[in-house]
Parts: sequence; structure tokens; C-alpha cells
Amino acid sequence: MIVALLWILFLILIVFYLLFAFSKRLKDKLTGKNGARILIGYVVLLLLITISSFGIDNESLQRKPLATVDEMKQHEKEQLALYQALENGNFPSGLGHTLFLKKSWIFPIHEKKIVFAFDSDHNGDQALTNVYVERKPGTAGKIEIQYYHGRSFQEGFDYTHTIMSPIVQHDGQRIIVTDQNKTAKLGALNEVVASRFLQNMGDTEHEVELTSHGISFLYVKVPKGVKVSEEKGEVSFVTKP
Amino acid sequence: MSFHEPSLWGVIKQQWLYKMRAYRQVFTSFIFIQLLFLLFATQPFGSSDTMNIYSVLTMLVVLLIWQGIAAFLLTTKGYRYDDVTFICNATTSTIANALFLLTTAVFAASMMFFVSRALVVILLFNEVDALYVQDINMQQMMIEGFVQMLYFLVVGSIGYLIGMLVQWHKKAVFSIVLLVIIGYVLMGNSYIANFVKLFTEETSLVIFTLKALVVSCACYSISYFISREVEVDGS
Repeated sequence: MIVALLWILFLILIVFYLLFAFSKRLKDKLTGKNGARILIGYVVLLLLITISSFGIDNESLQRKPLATVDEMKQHEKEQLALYQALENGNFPSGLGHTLFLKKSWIFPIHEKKIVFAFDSDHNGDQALTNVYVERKPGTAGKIEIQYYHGRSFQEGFDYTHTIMSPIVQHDGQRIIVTDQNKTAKLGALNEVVASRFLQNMGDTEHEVELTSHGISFLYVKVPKGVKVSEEKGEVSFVTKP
Repeated sequence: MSFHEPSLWGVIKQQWLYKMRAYRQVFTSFIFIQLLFLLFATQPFGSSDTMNIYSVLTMLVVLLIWQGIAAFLLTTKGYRYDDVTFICNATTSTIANALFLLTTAVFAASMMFFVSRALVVILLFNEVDALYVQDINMQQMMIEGFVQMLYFLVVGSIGYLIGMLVQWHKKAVFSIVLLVIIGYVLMGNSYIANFVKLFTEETSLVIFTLKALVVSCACYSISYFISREVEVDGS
């Protein structure tokens, strides 16, 4: 398949080469001052793009080596510990390392009741996200919602920074949560193709274990005495005493 | 009549400068081909369930072929006539052509580096949310560029030798084709693969460099001896 493709490319190349190198009219256009202008223009353009490429943020352009199986095992242990801490009513540690605050919202509340409604295309058993509610004194008249996401990997590639938080809107008694997460489009570019003397990307056929989607949840702080419920019962819901 | 005796390197320099000006279409054709294959490079080279793999390997292979064809064309009658403009002999022509092909090799390797950076920008703007690239420093980038340049050099010298063989004797075309066919029948395509592996599987940079230089020098040396046989104005 690859050989056939290369042959096709080879033929295309020959056609192009013959077109550009032998066509008298094109040859006249591509030599002399025109040729020099094209050449200089191309080099300058590529130089500018190259310089601009160094300004790309480190999160979008990941240079860290892909996670190994051992690192992923450790990561999954950490994610499990986060989940267990939450289920036991404790806010988990590891913020900024294995757990990240994606976004937070503060809404005024005038009622003694708040209903969470999840507006998403989710079907099946998988919950959109968990909601953990903490009743806090001193937060009268407002509700604070925070969206957290655990570190996530796809085939060893840390894609946590591409995860989008849901849209959270306040509508009277209802808090409407709209999921806008989509599967991140990830790529790996093999720039080192000629040299075997450098660290290569290695096997790109990664094992399934190298994919791990971190936990995600809404952490809600409400004033004491406010009743929190869910509209459809589609999420697991833990209310702290 | 001039009694000024030009130096060998003076003539070579003049010829090289002339070729750099006169054969600009070689560079412009490079640009067109590279831009074309930059579009190909924005399509995944391979993929898994959730990650696309992009590579500039196809572009490198195609541009190596470009270098081979450019070298081959330098040996054709039309290009060889250009050398008659100067005081020349087989030595100056071969060295000037080798220097020109060295220049195209350096140019091609440099452009490969630049275009891979351009590909990073294009992919991040259009194709992917995040991109993984190898963590290589400036020194390693230079090594990659150097190795690519050596590949261009080797392919250029082989293209030049084949071109010179063909110019020397038209029957050489049939001999080369015949050799390829006989070799294929006797050994499959392993002999070509083994020659390629001689470079691609070399793990020492020093030995790789030596191999590349030896093959290039051998090709240019044989070409030099053949060019002495080939009349500039003849067949």
C-alpha cells in the first residue's frame, strides 16, 4: 500500500518536475528575478512561521514524553484516591497536580431549594458528572459552583488542558448544566524522521491502558438550609451533612 | 588572447556561481513540490483510536527523489553545454556540479526544518486541539538537519552517477534496467533494501557520516572518470 502510494507520488513528482523544469514559458517565469523573488519570499515566509511557532503555548504543543504504563498505573491510583476521598465526604488533595479547577460560578439564590438539571445528549448509564454539595455557613444568598477535572490521558498524551467545562446557567430555582465536552482531537508530529541517533517517538501503537479519563465533578457550596435536588436523577449525588 | 592563467578553484567558483543563478528553477520547483507535500503532510500518516500521527517522512522521501532527478538533469546535454561558457574540463565541471548539489542538499535540509515548524502551526490552527512533538533541543535539531543533508547528498551523487552513466552510453540505461531486473530476480528487492538499510539502520552518527561521504565521493569519482569520456559537444 505504502509502496503503491509512493509510486503514485513519484509519478506526480515527475509530472510536476517536467512541467516546471522543462516548460519554456514556466522556466522563464521561474528563473531570473522572478525565481529569486519566489525563493526569497518563500524562505522569509517560512522563517516568520518558524519564529511564530516558538510562541505557541506549551500546553497545546506538548514536548513531554508520553506517559508510560507505570506512570499510568500510578495515575489511576491517584484518580481512585481522589474519588474515594470525595465519596467519603472529603475534598481531595492534589489540586494542580492530579485535580484541576476548570471553572467556577457564583449565582445569587433567593429560594430555599435548588434543582440541578442536566441538559445533554447523554444516553445510557454514564453520568454526565457527579455533583458534591457542601453546606457552608456564611454563604447566605449565593451559591458557588466549581467544576473540577482530574488529569486525563489519551494513549499517554496528557490532554487535560483541552477539556472544556460545562456551561452552567442559573434560571430561578434551576441550575442548568450543559455538557460541551467533546473528544479532544490530538495529534503527534514526528519531526525526527532521518536520524536514528535521537530519541524517537517509538511505537505509536499505544496500549489501551495508556488512556485514562480523569474524574470530573461539580463541587457546590450552598448556604445551610438550602435543599438541593436533581431533576432527572441521572447523576450520582452526594450531599454532605 | 589572454595570458592570464585562471586557477582551478577560481573556475569552479565561477561555474558554481553561474549554476546558482542559472538553475534557479531547481529551487523554485523544490518550493512547489514542498508546498504540495505540505498539504499531504496535514493528513494523518497513521492513527490510533484517538490520536492522529503526522509525519514529514513522505515529504522527505519525495524531496530526496527531487534531488536525484535534479542531479540526473545536471548531466544532460543542455546543462552540460552551459559549462562550455567557461574555461572548463571534467574536473571543474564535476566539482562545480558536486558543489551545486551540496548547496541544494543544504537548502533542502534547511527548508525541511522550517517546513516542519510550519506544519506544527498549521496542525494546531486547523487540525488538532493539541499536538505532541518530540522533546529535542537545538543540538539534536542540528543533528537531524545534518543527517537529512547527508541523505540529500548521497541521493544527489547517485542521481548524478546514473545520469553520467546514461550520458556516457545510452546502452547504460538498458544495462541499469537489466541489472535491476536481474538483481530483483536473483535476490528479490532485498539488495536495494540492504543498501538503504546501510544508512537507515546505522546507529552511529560518525559511521553514518563516513558512509555517506564515502558513497558520495565514490559516485562523484566514477562520474568524473566517465565525464572525461563524454565529449561536451558530443553524445
